[in-house]
This record gives sequence, structure tokens and C-alpha cells, in this order.
Amino acid sequence: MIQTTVTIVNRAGLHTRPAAAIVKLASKFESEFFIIKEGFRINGKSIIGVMTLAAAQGTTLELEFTGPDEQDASKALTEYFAKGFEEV
Amino acid sequence: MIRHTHPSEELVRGVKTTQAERQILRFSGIAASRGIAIGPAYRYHRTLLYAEDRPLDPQEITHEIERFDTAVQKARNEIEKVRRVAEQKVGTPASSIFEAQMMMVSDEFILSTIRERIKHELKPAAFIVDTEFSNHQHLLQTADNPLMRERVDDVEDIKQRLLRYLLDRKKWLSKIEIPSILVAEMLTPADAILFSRSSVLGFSIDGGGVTSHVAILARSLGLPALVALHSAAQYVETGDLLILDGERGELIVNPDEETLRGYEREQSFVLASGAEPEVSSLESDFPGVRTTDGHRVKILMNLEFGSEVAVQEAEHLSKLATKGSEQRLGLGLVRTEHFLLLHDDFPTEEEQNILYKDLAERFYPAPITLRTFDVGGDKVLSGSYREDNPFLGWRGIRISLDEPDLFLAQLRAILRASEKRNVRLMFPMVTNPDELARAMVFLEQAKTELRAKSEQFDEAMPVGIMIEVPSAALMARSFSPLVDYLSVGSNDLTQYTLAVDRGNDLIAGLYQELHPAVLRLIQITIEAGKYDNTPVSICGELGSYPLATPILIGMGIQEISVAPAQVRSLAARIRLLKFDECKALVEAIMHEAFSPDEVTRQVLRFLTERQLIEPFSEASIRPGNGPRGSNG
Repeated sequence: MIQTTVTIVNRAGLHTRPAAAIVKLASKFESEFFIIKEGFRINGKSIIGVMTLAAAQGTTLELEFTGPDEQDASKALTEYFAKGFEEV
Repeated sequence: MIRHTHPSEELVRGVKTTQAERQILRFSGIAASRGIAIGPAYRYHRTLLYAEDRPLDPQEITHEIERFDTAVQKARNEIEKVRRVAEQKVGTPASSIFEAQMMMVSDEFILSTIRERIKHELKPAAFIVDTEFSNHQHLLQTADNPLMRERVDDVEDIKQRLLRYLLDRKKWLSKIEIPSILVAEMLTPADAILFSRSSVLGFSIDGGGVTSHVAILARSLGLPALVALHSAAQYVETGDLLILDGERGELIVNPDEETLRGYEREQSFVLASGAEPEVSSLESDFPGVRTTDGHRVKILMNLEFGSEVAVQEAEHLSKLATKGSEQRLGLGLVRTEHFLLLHDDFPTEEEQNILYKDLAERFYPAPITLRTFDVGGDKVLSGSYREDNPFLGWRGIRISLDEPDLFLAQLRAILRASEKRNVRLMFPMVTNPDELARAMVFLEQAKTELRAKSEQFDEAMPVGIMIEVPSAALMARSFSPLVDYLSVGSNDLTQYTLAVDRGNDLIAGLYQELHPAVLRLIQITIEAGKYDNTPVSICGELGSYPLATPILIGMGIQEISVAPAQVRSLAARIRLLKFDECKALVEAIMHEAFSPDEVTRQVLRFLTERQLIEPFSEASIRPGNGPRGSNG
């Protein structure tokens, strides 16, 4: 299992468009992917789950990857968060 | 944009036999998409479906899961259909809303949870769908971020689609026969798109917000929309004649003839310019627009702070209007107190600085005008203390001067954002020069503190005051040598001059921005500015009121700051006018007009003679003609 910590950097936060993009990206990997916010743990491959995190700019999230391609998955998704969902 | 069906005789007669007896009703909401629509109402009742909690026979499980899977498939097909219509109507960026909805209805995580729950809890699919989606909606609803809360309706749409199949209900009707204004308690993005295939003139929605997907779609569709009308829908029936004012955020139900004419007339002034100018055609002389005889007036924008969407809209316009030019459209008023709507407490210096700096950078090199907190005492005082007359109480600069820590923190935050020299500071509610002098001492102190820390800032940051109290207008000659600019706040100036609270329905008709007394105070201010070469601007709603444009121009106002949505029509109006003629109009009004109605009549006559508006009957001047708006 790999765990990383990310911060939401784009202004609008984790709204519908990035939520959809995260789920699409995560679905390319076999590994399980969870996002943890303040003890609240959701499946990162569920768009409704990701949306209900309602993570605003500045929020810190933990990402958790488990599976055969966890290295690649963690790299791809952590980078996508760091880039501010390409909205910065 | 103006979307306007002429309420022809036929239509009005067909509307409703009891029309004459129906009462005029006015509702204030938020203008989510600009424009004005006049036409009959189409009352859209979307009854929300709920599922009953009942036990399920274990033998029914397989069948129930099959029904659920069929419902999901049908919902997918429907959303795909909506997505295709949307793509055609509004293009890809806006239609991607439905792509996200498609992902939601295909969310395997939720779908398998629902299947599991049907099996284990032995409850019908409808009940499980209802509770499962409602749980997620509840989480969205409690989010701090309004952008997230407004997504609740997107989830509702999916839930309702599934429930409709599972409860064997009929398809929703999303077609209207005659061009109408759609009135509903709530509207999903899919509804908005499907209705747009028929002749919808605009949307009036009780719920929602400016950033809800419905609002975004309405803007993409170019249809006026009002949201957050609370309980207006229940007072509207299909066929009621409506004026949906997406410029001022008002819905008028069953308007009387005079109101209706007033609207048609005001709008015809805007219409006289033909189609609204394309933004690209504004490039040449923005941000200064010239009258036909070459007199230049600068246009600026008012910004509701705290809404990223509003900032983006203004930023977009600022860039578009001045493509390829050094000049950009700036901000004539940033209401920093809108911050307080987002926070429970006053934000820290750091929190403020981040936002001010961000704005300054985004609009650079255009100026941004930051007005210090203009709030009433209720924001600072403990809940138990109530002022008898908060409007005449502890507010604006009075609070700032009494709370040095708060004031200094804001001043430092503003100064630190001024490094690039495009920040202007403005003080609200100043009533005498002594207050200004004291505020300047605080400003000096803030500068000294920053210098000690070697912080960079604009040493010559322009400082101005709002002229929004009659005493300040009358004393404008005493203020103008002390400041870099004066800015007329016409909303408060009107309220304080006429002793009318425009939020009070009993007397709202007395709120008349074209009252000669208000105009005289504005003129005194502008004249004082001319004497010292101090620029005078206006940032109240009067700036966007069509009939006031020739008066303000004629008085010699230098800057007019309006909501971003009003920039184009204001520019169009200025270009139709001749400065010299406006000056003569002002002179005539100041000598001859003794009542607001007389002012209105003179302006209308002036515009008619120049064929800028359609002829009108003088008897139809509606009393208390001011712009009635809800946003201060």
C-alpha cells in the first residue's frame, strides 16, 4: 500500500469536472484507490463519492493506493492533484 | 441581451380572464443570467418522487435487481440524449455537465452498494435508491463551499430519473406550446436543456445559485434567469403575465400597464442601438467610451467579492474588451465586506492579502478599487446588542475608526497588494473631513509598520471616499482637495437624502433615484471635483439605469462603474449621446424639473426627439420610476 498527502490548490476546489477526471484517471489502474479527508474515507473510483468530499481550495487529503500497479497509480494521481487539476 | 416578445393583444387576452383582478406581485431574487423577458408564465411542477419503506419478499430480490439495472440503463439513455441536445445547443464546455452526470449514473461503486443493500436489507430498489442518493446529497448540502452545495440538484436529477422508472411514473413533460417564461421551484440542468428546445423566454427558479449548473446553462443559452426567489413559484400560475428582469434581479407578476410600458420604454433605449455591440468592437476606445462628439467617459466594473464565478466573469470581460491593447477594464468598486459572508469572523491580514493580491494581479494593469469593510454593527457587536436605527448607526468607516486592530490589518493587507501600483483605496460612509483625516493617520501608521518590515507597497496609492451621505455631497469641496478621487454611491445617497429605506415595501415607491434633490447632490459633487481636478465616478445602480445615462454624461461624470453584465449596454448608450446636448438637458432639468416624474418626462422627451427611443404617451409615466433592484 502507498499513501501520499496532497493539497487542493486550484481556486474552485474539487468540483464536478476534476472529480470526473480523477475517477477516469483512477479507473485506468487496477489498484484500489481511496481518498481520506478528516477521517472520512471514500472510494476514489466513485464520482459521487469524490464529489461529496466537497474539498475546497487549501484542503489536505490523503490518497491511498493498494494493488499491483500502485506505484504508477500513485504517481499519476498525486501529480494530477499537484497540478491543481490543470486549472491553475 | 434583451429577449422580448411583445405581449400582443391576443396573448394578453388569452392569458387569463381574471387578469384585471390579479394583483401585481414583485419578488427579489438573484440575477443569474442577464437580460429581460416579458411574456406569459409556464408553471413547471416537478413533483419530487419519494419511495416508501416496505419489506421485500426474498423471492423478489432477483427481479428487483433486474428492474434496478433496467432503470439505470434507461436513465443512461436519457442522459445521453440530453447530452447530445446540449452539445448542439451550448457546445462542449457547458455540455460536459451531462458527461459528469453520465458518470454518476454509471458509478459502479454506488450501483453495487445499492444492489448489495437490496439483497441484505430486503427493501425495494426504489427505497434503497432514494436513501443511498439522499445520503450523498446530504453530504453535499452540508459542504462549506457553495459551489459544491449547488451540485445537489445534479444528483437529484439522477435519483429522480431512477425513481421514475422504479415507481412506474410517466415521463416528464418538457415542452411548452407558446413562448413562455418557465417558473419552477427547482430545475435540473437536463430540464433547462430540454425546455430550451421549445420557445422558453427565460427561467425563474425558487432555489439554486449563481454558480448552479442551471444558471451556467442559462448563460450559455443566452436566456435570462433568476434564481433564489425563495417562494415566488407558488404565487405564479401558467398564463400569468410576467416581467423577468435579469438585470436587476426582479420578477414582476401581473404587472400593470404602466409598469409594463415603463419596461418596454426603458428597454427600447437599449434596443435603439440595434444589436448590442460585439465586445470586439469595444476594443478601439475601451475602457474609455466616447460620445458622438468625442467626449470620453471611462467604464469600470463593480465586483461582488467572494464569488469566484463573478471574478472570472469580470476578468473575462476585462480581457476581451481590450484585446491587443495596453488598457484594460478595471474595477470601480470591490465590496470587501462580502468576505464576511463567507467567514463567520473578520478575516486575518494574511487571508485578506491573498485575495486582494490575487485580484490586483488578475486585473493588472487596470486599477482595482478596494473599499474597506462597509458593514453594519451587527457584524461586530455581540448578538444581544441591537441598534434602533442601524442605517444611522455604527457602520462603515465609523466601525473601522473605532476598531484600530481590524482597520490596520485591512489597510496593511490592501497596501501589500498595491506593489504593482494598480490598487486604489476607498473609505465608505464618510460624513465629515475629520473622519477622513483620522483614517489617513491610520493609513500612515500602516505604511510605517510595513516600511519597518521592508514590505513593498505603492507609496502613492490613490485614496478616495464614497459620497453616499448628503453631508459629504454638500461638503464635497472640502473633501476633494484631500483625496485622489470621489465616488458617488447613489443607492445610499438616495436612501439618506429621501429618508427612504428601499427594502421597506410600504414606501419603496418613494425611493426615486431621479429625484431632483439626489441629482443636485450628485451635481455638487461633480462640480467640486472639476474645481480641484479630482476625478468623480459613480458606482451605484444609477450608473446602469438607462434614463440616468444622459444626465450623468451631461453633468460631466468621468467614470461610471457598473456590474459586468451592464458594461456593454452602458457603452452602447454612451455612444448614442452627444455631450453638448446632454449638458443642455442637465441645465434644463436643474432649472425646470421639480419632481422625479418631471425629470423622467424631460429625459424621455430628450431621447424621443433624438429618435433614441420609441415615442411614448406622457400619461404613461409610471410613478416612482426608479430602478428597483435588490442588490446594494
